Amino acid sequence: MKKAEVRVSGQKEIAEKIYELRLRGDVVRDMTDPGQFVHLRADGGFDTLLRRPISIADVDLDNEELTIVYRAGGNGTNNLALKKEGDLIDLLGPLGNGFPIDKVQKGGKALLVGGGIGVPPLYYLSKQLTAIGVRVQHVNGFSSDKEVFYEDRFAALGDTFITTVDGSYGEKGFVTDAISTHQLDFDVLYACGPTAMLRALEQRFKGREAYLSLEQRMGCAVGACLACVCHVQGDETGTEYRKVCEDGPVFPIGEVVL
Amino acid sequence: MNRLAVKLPGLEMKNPIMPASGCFGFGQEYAKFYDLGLLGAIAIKAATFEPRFGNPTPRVAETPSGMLN
Repeated sequence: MKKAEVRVSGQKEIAEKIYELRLRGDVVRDMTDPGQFVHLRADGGFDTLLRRPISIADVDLDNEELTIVYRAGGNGTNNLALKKEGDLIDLLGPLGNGFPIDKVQKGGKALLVGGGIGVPPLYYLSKQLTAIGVRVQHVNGFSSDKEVFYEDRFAALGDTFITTVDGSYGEKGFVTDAISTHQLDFDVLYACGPTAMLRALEQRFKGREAYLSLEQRMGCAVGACLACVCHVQGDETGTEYRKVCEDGPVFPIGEVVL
Repeated sequence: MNRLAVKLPGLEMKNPIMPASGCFGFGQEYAKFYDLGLLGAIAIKAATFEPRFGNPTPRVAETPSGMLN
């Protein structure tokens, strides 16, 4: 993990209030593990003092360029959405434990399930899995057609099924519906998205080889402030915890309470 | 002469830099980033005799120039 200033190489809105931000700097050379995140200052002032944690969506190591995708919804992310090419952003990263890609062999099958703004980190994961010869399938769920993004990019790597809750694009329903409809199976499952989605996947696939990326409000993102803790499954005392920033954000299915 | 030294009742610090306790864990977390001996003092997070999980999450809120933790 390093603290660095990175320069905006481009930003565009790719779906309703969903922005793709590209950043360049030496620190990007360290971003080799899918599922990690970066912690960004949204502006130089103190009204939004805390950094915003955003997952790494893609990395071009040769050109030292990082891509993140985020939803502009609060003060910090709305400030980020105003950044233009050439602007500098203060970044901490890479942070966290990402998706383990050594759990599936060449020729094996990986199912990547994403929900809404949980989709982006699965793209870098999918690129790395296909690069080592893993067969990938993707199920990405969104609320409506207005929020769908990256369908072509995922489709270029493997079968891709899009669901929308309101049926305005792709298949109507949730990601679990698509998994049933197409009878998708896997050697390893990787998922990132809303807690309700992760719970539904855990209910269905607990005991299988699966890894879930959690989201939690963060302060320091380096394990000191204990803002982002979650309970541990099976802990009868209720006092054990894991830090989403440092022990996660990726956990084996069934380890932490969702 | 150390012009940064601070003398408080019961506490003498070589400089007036002390991190806010809620943000500083239990000391060892930031030790991996720099020598804590550079600080005037540290204040750790609240500690209890029996283990406690603490407040349910979310348990941090941003404020202008700060945070509630």
